[in-house]
Amino acid sequence: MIKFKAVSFAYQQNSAVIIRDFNAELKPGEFNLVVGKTGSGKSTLLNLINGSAPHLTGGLLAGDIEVFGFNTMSYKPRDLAETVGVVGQKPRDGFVTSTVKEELAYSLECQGVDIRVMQQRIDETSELVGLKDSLAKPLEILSAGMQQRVAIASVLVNRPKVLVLDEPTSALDPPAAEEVLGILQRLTYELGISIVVAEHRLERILQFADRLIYVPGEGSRILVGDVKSIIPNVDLAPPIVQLAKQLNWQPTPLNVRAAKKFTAPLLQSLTPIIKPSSEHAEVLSTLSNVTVRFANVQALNGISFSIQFGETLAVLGKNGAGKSTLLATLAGLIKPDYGDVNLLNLDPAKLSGKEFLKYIGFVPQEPADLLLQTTIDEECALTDQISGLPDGTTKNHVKKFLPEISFTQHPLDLSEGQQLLLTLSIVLVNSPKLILLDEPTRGLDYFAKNQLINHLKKLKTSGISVVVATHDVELVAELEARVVLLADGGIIANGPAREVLLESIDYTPQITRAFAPLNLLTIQEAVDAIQLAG
Amino acid sequence: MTAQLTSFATKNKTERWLHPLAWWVWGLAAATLAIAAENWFIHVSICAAIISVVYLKRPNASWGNSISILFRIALFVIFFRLMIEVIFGVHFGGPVLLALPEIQLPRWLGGIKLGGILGATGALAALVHGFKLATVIVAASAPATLVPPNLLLKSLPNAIYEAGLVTVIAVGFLPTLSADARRIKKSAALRGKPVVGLRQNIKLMMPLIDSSLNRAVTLSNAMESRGFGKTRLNVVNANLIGLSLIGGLFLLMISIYQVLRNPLNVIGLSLLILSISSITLSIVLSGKFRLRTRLEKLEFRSPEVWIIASSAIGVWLGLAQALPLLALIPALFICFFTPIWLSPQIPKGFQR
Repeated sequence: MIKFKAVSFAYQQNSAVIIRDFNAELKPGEFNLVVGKTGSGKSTLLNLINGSAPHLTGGLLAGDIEVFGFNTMSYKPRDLAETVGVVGQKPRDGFVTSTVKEELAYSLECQGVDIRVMQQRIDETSELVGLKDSLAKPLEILSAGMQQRVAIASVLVNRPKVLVLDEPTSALDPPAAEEVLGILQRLTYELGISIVVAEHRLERILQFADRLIYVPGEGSRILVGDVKSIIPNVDLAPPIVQLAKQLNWQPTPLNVRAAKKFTAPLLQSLTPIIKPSSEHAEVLSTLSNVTVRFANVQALNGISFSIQFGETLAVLGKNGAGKSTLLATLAGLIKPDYGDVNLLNLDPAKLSGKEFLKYIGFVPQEPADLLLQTTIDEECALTDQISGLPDGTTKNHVKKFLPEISFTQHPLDLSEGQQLLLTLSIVLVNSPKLILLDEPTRGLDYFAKNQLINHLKKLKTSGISVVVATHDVELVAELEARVVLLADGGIIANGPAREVLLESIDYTPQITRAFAPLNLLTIQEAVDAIQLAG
Repeated sequence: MTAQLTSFATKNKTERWLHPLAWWVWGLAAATLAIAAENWFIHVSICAAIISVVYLKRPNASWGNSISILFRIALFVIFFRLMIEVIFGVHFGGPVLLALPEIQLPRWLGGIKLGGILGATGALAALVHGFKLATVIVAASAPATLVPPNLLLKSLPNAIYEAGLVTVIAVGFLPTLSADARRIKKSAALRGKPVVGLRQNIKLMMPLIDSSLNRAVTLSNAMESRGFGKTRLNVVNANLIGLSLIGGLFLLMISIYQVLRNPLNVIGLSLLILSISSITLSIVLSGKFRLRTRLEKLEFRSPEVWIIASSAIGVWLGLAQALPLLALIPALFICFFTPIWLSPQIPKGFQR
């Protein structure tokens, strides 16, 4: 039982109150889902549960938090290790040792658990999360999904009563995310562990939740209750819930199965969408038979395809399938071992400095890496200077993307979504022909994601080609992109999203699943189709 | 002998790490001999043995690949030593290799002569000396590339566990830090302005510091919430032990000064004894109250003994100069090459 009694929290004496007068009781064995915008205080709320806030983060706490009888004010996080297990946002950064087994032993060793008990706990836990065969493996060679499992197992060995996770699936490809969520569900059902998890992408996780904790941000009142009663008040919702709201489906379906009850009677009357195959535009860039090797790994294996002017292309595939390498090769940042990269009859690897900007705009996985100045104003001035543009050009351009920000603040103080839009607008100043984005929606809430989608759609109409490497099928659906699906460095599917996503099992948008076998991709398409049928 | 040793190694089939202590004795023994030896044939022999062992035995992990950094440092040392000879060297004779203009610094600056003639004798001496330094560096740091850093930590006594952990984590951060730096530098080039010059490079530090600080905070939070630093002690006792440790160290400082001034000073001597016992007591106590247990104890078996023994024989052979040079050089090579035959197979995940 976790009890919040009149809890308020602020990081500094005079700074904004993050959480105001929060009262709640979370029952044992429940799956609690925390939702809210970026920067609303979700992570702070999670940190309060094991006392990381304020013991480690600093800050001022009013009220009482009691976790299975322990008051977090009088116990440090280390004293609660056997009660609350915490899995952070980036599991890799939290690893202390070098192999799976040592990592699982670490927490037990710290607490002086007897060797025999330790061995047994490690055995059982590794069985539970599917790490039995990986115990001897080094942590650094594991895939992101396996690393997430290790992070979960490394706190489960303590037999905690509560498990707290911050965005456990945001960096994972859909199959890996599915597996991790399956593990979490088993923990609540079979071991009765309470789970508190914060997530941005709700389409997969919402169906597992017993209880929703909605953090609206800016110190507004936090809503707690069962999912069905809270979800109508939440403006962040997965596609099916948004559709249900628009069509007034009651009770709100939370998963595809529940949505099928509403869609089944409709399917007969709905007509599939037939889009004319896109007219053949001019080709912007071509990869022919491209192979890239790193040391002894084949990253790309004989890849050939071309990108047309104004086309949006989505590169999908598991972690490590070669998506980022493909993007870097398209931009000429990696030179292929075999094969050719052609961009308007040029080799992008030979473009330098200013020339590069005129052809290619690249937004890397960490957009903040491009931001090196101390204020956004300086950032804009630098761009003007590099590109030889009149003073203020970039600033005006950035204002179109981010009308609300102050230009005197430090770029790293912006939210992740804002940093992304800032870098995107900066690279767009030179009106490049090709925009490349690597995992742009990671860590973005639905608002920020929608903003990004709108901007990318505008690019499409103005004839700029966009290539996105992503795990986010909803993004691909909204963009109506052509999909290149990678596996082990080779292309296994290449075609319009409507065809590729419909045939795939792992990479299917929620709406498509709900309306299968119909070929609808987005909320708007579903609403239109239903209205058309009357 | 080789055949015997090989069969011995295959008998010992279990995959495990060689005890870090054995690796460190091996490396430091080689380094010690390199410092003491004058003959550069000896340095070549040691260096060849160490490099072959590292090359053949290095594990497949980021810290295992740091050997290339080591080589670069070694080459830089040789180059640097040669440059010093070029700039400050005195002409000893031999054919003239390079004639630079000579600058005589004024007397109040030490009257040093800069530049001038670089003779073959001087250059050769500098090269030999540089190679000696490089051998010492390679030998002394080779063990770090052969065992996981946290394994060394396991072999430390409980009481200084924390201090060891901090060091290991700091060392472990280096590869990620350099990977970050490369990533950020690459990304920065995407703005269309290649990063050149000191000022631009300093700007690059910003995101680098940001990401490494974030990582450090993540790690410390993860450690704390998994029970790191939990003790059986209450706060009062913990503070008392800490106080006695710091007090002991302070006393040690004063007493060493006293004793050095006058070795027969009774106050100095008694303070020295007091401080040492206070430090020992607090280390023992804090080790005793630590909750820590260890899942896998490091094994110290016959391969470790043999490797340490052969390193010791190597040092003795080199120092005693009991063998003629022609026999000494291969003998030394074999003494420091033994880990190839003796050290057990490393765990599977780390094999190349």
